[in-house]
Amino acid sequence: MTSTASIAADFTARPTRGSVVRFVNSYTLPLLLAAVFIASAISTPDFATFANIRAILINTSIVGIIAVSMTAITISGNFFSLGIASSTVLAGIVFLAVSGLTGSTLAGLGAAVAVSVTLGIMQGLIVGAGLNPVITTLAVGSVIYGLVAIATKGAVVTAGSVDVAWLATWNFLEIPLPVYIFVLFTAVAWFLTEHTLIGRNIHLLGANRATARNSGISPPATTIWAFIAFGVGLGVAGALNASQLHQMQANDLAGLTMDVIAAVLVGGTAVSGGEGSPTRSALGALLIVALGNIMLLHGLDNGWRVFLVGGIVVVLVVALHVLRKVSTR
Amino acid sequence: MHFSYARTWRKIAVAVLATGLLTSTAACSTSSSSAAPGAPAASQGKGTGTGTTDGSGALLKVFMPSTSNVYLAAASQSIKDEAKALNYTVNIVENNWDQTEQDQQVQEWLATGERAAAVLMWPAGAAAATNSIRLLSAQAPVIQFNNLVTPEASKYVTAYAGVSDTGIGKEAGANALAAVEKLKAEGVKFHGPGGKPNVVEIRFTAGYAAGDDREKAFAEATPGAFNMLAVEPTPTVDAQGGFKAASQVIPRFLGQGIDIVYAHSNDVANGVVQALEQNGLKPGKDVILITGTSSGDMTNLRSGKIWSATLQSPVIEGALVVRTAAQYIATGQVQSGDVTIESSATKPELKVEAPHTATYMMNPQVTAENNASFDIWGLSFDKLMGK
Repeated sequence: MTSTASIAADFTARPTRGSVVRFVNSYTLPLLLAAVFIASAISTPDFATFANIRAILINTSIVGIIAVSMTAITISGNFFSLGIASSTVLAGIVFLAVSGLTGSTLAGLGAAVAVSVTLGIMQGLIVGAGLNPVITTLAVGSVIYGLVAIATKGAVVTAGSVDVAWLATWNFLEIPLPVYIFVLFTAVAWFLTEHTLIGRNIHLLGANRATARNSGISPPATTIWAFIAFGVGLGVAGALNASQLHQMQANDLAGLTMDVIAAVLVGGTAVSGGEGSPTRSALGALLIVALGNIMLLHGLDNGWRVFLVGGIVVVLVVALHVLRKVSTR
Repeated sequence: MHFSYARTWRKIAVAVLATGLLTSTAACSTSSSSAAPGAPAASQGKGTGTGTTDGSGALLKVFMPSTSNVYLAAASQSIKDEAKALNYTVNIVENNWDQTEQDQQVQEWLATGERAAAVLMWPAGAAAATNSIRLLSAQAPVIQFNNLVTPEASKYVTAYAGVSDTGIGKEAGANALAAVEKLKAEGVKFHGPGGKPNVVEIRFTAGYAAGDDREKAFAEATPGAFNMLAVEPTPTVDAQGGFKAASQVIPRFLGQGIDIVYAHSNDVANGVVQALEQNGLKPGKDVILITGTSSGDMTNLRSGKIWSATLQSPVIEGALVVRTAAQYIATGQVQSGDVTIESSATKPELKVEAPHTATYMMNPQVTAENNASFDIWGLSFDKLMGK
């Protein structure tokens, strides 16, 4: 028989557990990142230089934008997109082609975003209808890759004589535009996910699909919104990537999909959905790049760097999962 | 209502998925001319050739990675063109850069019983391709191209024809030394100890044999001439990979001063250019950028941001492997040793003589000044690159 005292104790403990969960979810990664940066600034020569920090931010920006935009898909319980690389390449090629044809970089950017959002809506419709998101995005990724390869015949696509580089090189305080876009994108995604009805619907859909449906939330419509956000991110990232290098070809960005998924996982977004934050995905992307950079500055060979960063990602993902489980018991 | 909605969309989804499979298959699979009935395999015994380089319609079976890459697309077209000129039929089977897939394709082809005069093999991963090459060699002479023959596979490969990564590394080393001499004459001072130039090498992906050969050959061609600050592998062999690697490693050595960056290809170097500029350095002025393969967009090379590249023509590589096969079929023999073909303005006449164990392409320097006047085998630089 349960005593009144134990019921009272259990009742009073719940808010404590809730606050622990919130603390773990909200502050573990920022604190870890801060610790890594402080420790590295003290122990690693050249880490705390402006040029190096800028390099870390630049390298984080494109992966970060996609990771931030994909977080809504993961939170909504639809796992990941496995067609990231080919979709980003397509966006980059559309950006270069339209910029070259119209002479306007902004028209190219708009076209890249429009194409990516359209593809996002199509995938959202399919996944919203109940098809497996992993299979769907993988298949759509293959379609895109195939079409790009056929259309370009494997050739390098450029914008011709049109200067598209300013989109990646324009800078303020010597920090280039992609970094500001990354920060802005993260802020907007955070606001939409945490402080709007659509954002709350996405969270609830991922946490409990049946309850969400019973609450009047449309799973297809909510899924489509998540994929639209993803499409915007892909379009912007593809255009930035293409403007950075002034070129794009079908086989580019081979490792991008895994980089983005790693960033989302390190950010602590639950693979099963319902829990996560675009801000933490952005920090996850930043942490992965920073760790690689620190090891590079310590002179570790590429093999060791890949091994250690991979190992740290696994440990972090497991640790965050265990912490969350323990704190919710 | 919901169920009918779901059913409708599921039908659409299934249609999209099926389209996806078909499209990706079309992009990554065979891109071939129609194969004529297989001709009897040429004898591999010494001195039992056909006596002519005319193929009489015999089949050359080609296994190579996907033509979704512009280099491979140009090489593939060149193989077809050269085969047609020599009256051979060619049938090409592509894989998506996957040795396992290529292994399956080889076994499926062998199971058909089709006969070929020779097999032209670009292994997806040379280190793991030995068994497929062994199986193919029991059916027809195997002429390997692009990936150098491994010691394990050497007894099954009749001859090699194509790119020499060692040659490219050597040429890049010579180009770097020439650039240094030119700048010294102009009074430029370098940042390394004893006035040596500080060099950063952005090499092909770790474990990629072409990168190993280019790194080694560059070092051997420039003994003690440079102060090598770092050799950084790219995560992928493209401009994005070059940018990723260079944008991390360049800030590390900004304080020491970087004089030369050696990138293993022009494509990778395009990413290095961006990384240099983002770190306030002017490629072509503050930093000399020496590159290997003349791949990717050539804007930076033509503007002088990239000092030099090294010609690696897919058109010549494609023609070379077919010509080597034709010579072997004609003579039934292979000359021991290797040879690098000369850069000539006219395409050499194909003689009925045994090919060498290894025939390498020429690797002349490509610069902003000379790329417009290139004339090898009657082809301009762009034509040589398959554009």
